[in-house]
Amino acid sequence: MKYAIKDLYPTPVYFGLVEDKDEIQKEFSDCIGEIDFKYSKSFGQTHHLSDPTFKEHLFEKYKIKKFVDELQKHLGAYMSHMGFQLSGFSFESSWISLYRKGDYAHVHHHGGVDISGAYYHKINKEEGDGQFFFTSPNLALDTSLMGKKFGGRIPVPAEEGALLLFPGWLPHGVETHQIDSERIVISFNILVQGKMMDEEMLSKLYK
Amino acid sequence: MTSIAELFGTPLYRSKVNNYDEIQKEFSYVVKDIPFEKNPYYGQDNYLSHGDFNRNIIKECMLLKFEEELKSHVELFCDNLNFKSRSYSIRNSWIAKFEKGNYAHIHDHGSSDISGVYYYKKCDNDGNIFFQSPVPQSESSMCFWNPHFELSVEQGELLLFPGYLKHGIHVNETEETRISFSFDISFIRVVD
Repeated sequence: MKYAIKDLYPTPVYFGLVEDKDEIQKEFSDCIGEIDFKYSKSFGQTHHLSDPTFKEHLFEKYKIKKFVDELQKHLGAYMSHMGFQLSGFSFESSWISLYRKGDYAHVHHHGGVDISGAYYHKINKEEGDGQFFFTSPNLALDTSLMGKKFGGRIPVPAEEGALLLFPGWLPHGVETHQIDSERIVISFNILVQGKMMDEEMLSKLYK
Repeated sequence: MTSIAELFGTPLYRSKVNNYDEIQKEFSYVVKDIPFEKNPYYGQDNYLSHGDFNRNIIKECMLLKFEEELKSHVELFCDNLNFKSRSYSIRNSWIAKFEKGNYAHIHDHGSSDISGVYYYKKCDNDGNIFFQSPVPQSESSMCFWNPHFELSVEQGELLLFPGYLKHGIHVNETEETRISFSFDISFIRVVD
């Protein structure tokens, strides 16, 4: 029987490896030594943060330039994929999350920002390293009998030097970190400037 | 190395029926005797075999060939989604007739596990079905393009999709009557 199944309205998630990994790793290693990580009082004992208020801007405070330059290329590629002509962007916030044994991140989203991202600075390849996951932005997918088979959680494989970009509205979390070695992730929120391609070009892109 | 993963999509199944001539014949006996009416709450959108959606045309009129054909498509749809197919019932089914100027407003089919439509009489420009994103936050996002997904289908085609997926039908701009059979499927929850 001839048939077709189309996947309607999926959420695009970008995964890339940074080119200048050694320099970028050093850039973050240098600032991590200066930071007094703390739990957020309102979150409870979830995971340690460079700034539990989320008001500081890590990239500005520590003059993180190499990573920001690299990120710009990845963001451009991600936006192009979606048919968005990027003319500029700004960081709404940036911070570091540090996971010690027993730490995790509850499922959350990043509100009204356009793009959120994570850079994996220190990951452990052994079992028990807290795994990042996405949950469905479509509640009906999870609550329908058939849908829960393809909704639910989607784990994201992590690698040091990897960069993840996703819509700020996409819910995500981190499973409990069960090993002694620390796990360190750089997170950030981006506001973009630009416009979507015209509908004719978009139609070709999405065909 | 870069890659873009497309996550959490909603599946839409599309196929032509195998037993087209027999199924068309089966439906033709039913269509001619239906006193179509408009749902008074909907306004002037389209004509329905019964406006309250509480009946089951497929069962009442014993549309056995279509029912048998549908079963194979439902199984195929479930298999592709890695969902172990189970017994189901067609909980309601109805016929929608679109004369010139008729359309269907955007709606969903509530708690139906699978909803579907069979195109009994269809030509170009008589109103394409379109779907709306089930993720409203993506529609209001500046850098994501999630327009209505419009589908041009042919007579004899069958669509299956989750009941929660919102959809509508564009205006029939032709002089031709457009007729489709819609149905809602619920999987059996309790097994004896």
